[in-house]
Amino acid sequence: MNHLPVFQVLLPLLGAPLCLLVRRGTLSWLVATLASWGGLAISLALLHHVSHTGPITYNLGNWPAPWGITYHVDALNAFVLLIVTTVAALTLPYALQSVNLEISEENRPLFYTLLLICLAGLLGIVITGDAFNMYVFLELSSLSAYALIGLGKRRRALTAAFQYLVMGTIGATFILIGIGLLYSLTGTLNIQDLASRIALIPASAYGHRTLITAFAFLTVGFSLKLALFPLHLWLPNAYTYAPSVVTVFLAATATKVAVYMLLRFSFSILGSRFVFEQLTLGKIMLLPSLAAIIIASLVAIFQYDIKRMLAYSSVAQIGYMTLGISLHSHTGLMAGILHMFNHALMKGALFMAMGAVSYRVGSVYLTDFRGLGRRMPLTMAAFVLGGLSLMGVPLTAGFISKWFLVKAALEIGWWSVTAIILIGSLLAVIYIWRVVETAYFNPLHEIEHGQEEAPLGLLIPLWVLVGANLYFGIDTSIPVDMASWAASALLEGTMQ
Amino acid sequence: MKPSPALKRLTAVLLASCALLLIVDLFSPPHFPLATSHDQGGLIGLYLWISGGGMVTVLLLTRLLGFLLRRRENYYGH
Amino acid sequence: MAIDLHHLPPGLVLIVCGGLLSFLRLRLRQLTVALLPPLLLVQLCVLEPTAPTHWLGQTLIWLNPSATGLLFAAIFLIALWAGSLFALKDARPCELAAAFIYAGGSIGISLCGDWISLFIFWEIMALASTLIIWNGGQPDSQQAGLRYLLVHLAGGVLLLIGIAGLALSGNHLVFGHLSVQGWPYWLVLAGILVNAGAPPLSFWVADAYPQASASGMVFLSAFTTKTAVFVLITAFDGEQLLIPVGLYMAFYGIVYALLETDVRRILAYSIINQVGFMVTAVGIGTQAALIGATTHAGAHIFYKMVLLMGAGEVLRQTGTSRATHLGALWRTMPWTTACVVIGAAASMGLPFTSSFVTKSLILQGAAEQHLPVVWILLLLCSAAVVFNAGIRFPWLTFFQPTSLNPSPQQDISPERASDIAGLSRLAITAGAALCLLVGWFPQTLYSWLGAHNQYHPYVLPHLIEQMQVLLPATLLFFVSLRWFQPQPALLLDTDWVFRRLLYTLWLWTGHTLKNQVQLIVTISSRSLIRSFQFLFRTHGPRGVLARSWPTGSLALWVAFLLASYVAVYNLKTQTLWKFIQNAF
Repeated sequence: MNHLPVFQVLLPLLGAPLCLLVRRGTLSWLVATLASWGGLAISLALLHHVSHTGPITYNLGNWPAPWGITYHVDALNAFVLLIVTTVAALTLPYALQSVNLEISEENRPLFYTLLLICLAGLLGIVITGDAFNMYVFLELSSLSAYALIGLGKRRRALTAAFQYLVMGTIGATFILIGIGLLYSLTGTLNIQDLASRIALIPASAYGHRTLITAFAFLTVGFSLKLALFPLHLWLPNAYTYAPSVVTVFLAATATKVAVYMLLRFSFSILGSRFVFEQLTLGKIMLLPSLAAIIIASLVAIFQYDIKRMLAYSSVAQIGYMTLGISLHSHTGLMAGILHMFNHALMKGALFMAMGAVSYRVGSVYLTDFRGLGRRMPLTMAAFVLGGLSLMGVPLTAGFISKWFLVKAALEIGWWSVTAIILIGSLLAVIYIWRVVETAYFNPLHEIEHGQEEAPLGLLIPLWVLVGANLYFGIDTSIPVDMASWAASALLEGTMQ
Repeated sequence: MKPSPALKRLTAVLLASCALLLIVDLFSPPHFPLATSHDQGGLIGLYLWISGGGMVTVLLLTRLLGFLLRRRENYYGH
Repeated sequence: MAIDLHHLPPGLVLIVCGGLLSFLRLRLRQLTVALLPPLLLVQLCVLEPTAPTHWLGQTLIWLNPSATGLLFAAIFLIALWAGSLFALKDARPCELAAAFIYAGGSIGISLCGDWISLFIFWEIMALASTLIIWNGGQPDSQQAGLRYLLVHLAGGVLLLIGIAGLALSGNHLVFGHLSVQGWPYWLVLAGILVNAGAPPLSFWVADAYPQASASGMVFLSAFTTKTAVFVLITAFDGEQLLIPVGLYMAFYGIVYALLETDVRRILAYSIINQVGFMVTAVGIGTQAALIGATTHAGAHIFYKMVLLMGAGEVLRQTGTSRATHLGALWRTMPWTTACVVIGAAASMGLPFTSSFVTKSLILQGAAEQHLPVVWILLLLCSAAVVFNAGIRFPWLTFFQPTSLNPSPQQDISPERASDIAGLSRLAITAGAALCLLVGWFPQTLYSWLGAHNQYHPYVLPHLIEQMQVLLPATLLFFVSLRWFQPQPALLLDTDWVFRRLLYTLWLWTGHTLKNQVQLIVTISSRSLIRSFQFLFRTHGPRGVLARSWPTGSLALWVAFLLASYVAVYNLKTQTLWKFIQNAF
């Protein structure tokens, strides 16, 4: 029990070289799957522990807090850990058949190694209580993500990966500069320590401007990493050309972890008073969020590559999360955190459906979907249900986060924001409907494509996620309680 | 349309039963549910009158409404 | 996981199973259809109220059964069972699934404990019943289904606004007698009445129901209107307004049924006629009247099912339900005829059938309340049943000599029809048996609803009275036969306002304001096209917002954003002057 936090990261990190050592595709898949399931078990145990006995602090190598690296688990990161590990534990069973088709034999052990490193990096970002350590893990996950995207079948995967590499590196560098400035100001890197020292700096002091510059670097860095509207341009290409499994995994986890970093820095380190009342981050972030919701959804409507369409839809959905944060109220923050969870569920399901379609058909252009409603009934039914969740239809998970978002906007009387949220949902109806119409009401594609339904190995993880979408749309208590708990912990401004 | 003999016979039987009911009613205790049984005499065949007289009115009314309400079948263009 | 039978809402079970039904294989589907309703019927005996569920800040009570509600649920389950046995022969899987969901909705309503869950089931019913109509396969099914859906969605909106009004004015939303005054009360009432087939929207019943399939109409006749009656009984007992509304419905049904040619439409009008009885009874609101309304709803469901199964079987056999093409079917379909005669007897309320013991309670209620006019009118209406479901329907379908048909068609020959068989025969026989059983054991029903040995239908005066009502009416029916010959025609109704008046007005406006309208249309369509082109130019695959940018320009964007963030943050914390001073 005592060493659980470190095992959360160590398990995938140790699994990675093991994957490389066993060399055989299927064996390394087995190692990766076991590691991811172990990770899920650990995150569940951590969540249980945190919810019963409060936050856990773990000192690495028993070095006490300001000097050594600490791992810290509270309500928020226990929740995000759960999201990441759940997605990983579902993606890996899905990966076996999809990877066998899309990745060449000799690259498969490498693929699983990279996937595990990426997972370890993401988990490390979330669990660590040290700002610099966070940056290290960020680089770890990003570098492996670039390589994973580059493994895509089409040649454009390489340019997409390269662009992501450049942009991601700029983002990470900005984050590093931000952390460096904070370090020069306070002389510490431990998050709790940073928070308490920054709180002591008076607003008039010289250090204040360093603080502001640091936060400007951090904001831009995080905006890049989480693909907030004007800085989202790397995301559509990366998601479109990456292998199916990588798209599922990254779409459901990477941006959420970036949102987590933004939350952690804004609320736990710099304090919501400084960030929201002095710098008014809420109002500054409102515009890109709303622009993301409307513009990215509009762009999605015009896409012919459905994977790309879903990628743009992800940009819009990230807009909902940052919108929740920028409302700066308990309900808004909770809606944002809740949407991290629900978006992971729905986008995971939708991208898995894309993977299943591309497994059978070969590509996912709109014209490939003709007649698929009859040819792949289970996959398309899952797509429809996931799409309903994306639109925010009642009794699906997507409805719950939209409901709280609308509630939060109405609480502070922002009717226009409410209208934009609803317009965003309507736009989602349009772009999902295009696919549904093609799949169910158009005759079958002239070219016969392979067998009927996707294999069970792809369908089972897909339907587990779809089931989760429906389950958490009806029994809302678990994610809502946790999001609410995490939101109130953040608003208290402490890591306790 | 000419009524068939069977229909004529049926009508006669119904007429006879109505008459029979009236006789039975004459010899049974009064049962007007609305009044508090003070009106003993004027109840004979009350139901017959309401039903028969009322129905004639309803039928005439319906016949009249029929002229107003009937339209050709493709009225709405189907 | 053990399923808690005491707290498992049967309505939800039916809805879930209905959803799964269309995916099941034929054998399994038949098994489910045959076994699920009786199992749930057993489960009704052990139901207990559930604890409230909290969902997004609202309190939902899925189960809070009352005696009336349990009786309605049991009746609905029996109706579903019989109807789906009848349907198994030729109904599409989709129709059967919709019927289960539909029944689940009405059973959910009859057992639920608050207005929100009631509303959820209400909308499920509207959607599922529309599906049944759309699966009808009749010439006008699609259009009629759409009209039906629009009417019910409008009713649903009224109900929703009413419930929201109740919640906003601080009332608890527990389902029971509504004692609130003000606009929410009237909106809720209006929403419920739309489903009961009340004026001015009564037309939907006869417009939509006959467009369902042979079995579809059996389902439709059982649930929507009777669920509305249940809600009225529970929430609006004693509302005076319901008396004129109910009487209007009763007479509306008589008049239109008399003028109608299609036998299934005659039966649809007869539904409104009988629901009018129940609505009036709710308006009267005494114990006798309410028990009458409840039991009569059940009796009506059973006999109308038998009659509609008969009409449906005729439709299956001959391909038509027009009285002008039917007649003399008793020779070829004796079993059907026998069952329909029992159902028709029950509809008229002949002694020893169901209506005899149920409808008389409604009249009793009017008498107890000293409402002589209402009493006389109701009496008249029960006599007039002869002119629709009672004698006119069986006469036109099974007994009228074919020589009387003004337009016999060659391709439809009643002689070639064969009798009802298999599960359908079982279903119609069971329905006929129920019509008789209810008439034989009235006290069981009465005492379940809390009136133990209070009312005695089988006394000599009541027998004489009922015969005095029915015999002259029957006599008149045969005497007036020549004036009410069926003739092909369409009957005007209030839907004329929507389908003709508004349409004509629309055309007329278009005609008179042709230039202006054209101008507006051109401008708006042109600007629509323009804005779409703009959206496509900017957001389309090659648009500025969607195309892939060179990495260098992205980096430039990042630099620009960084600069603006630094500037904005500084401006936010200091005045502009101080910022410039500090900068240099």
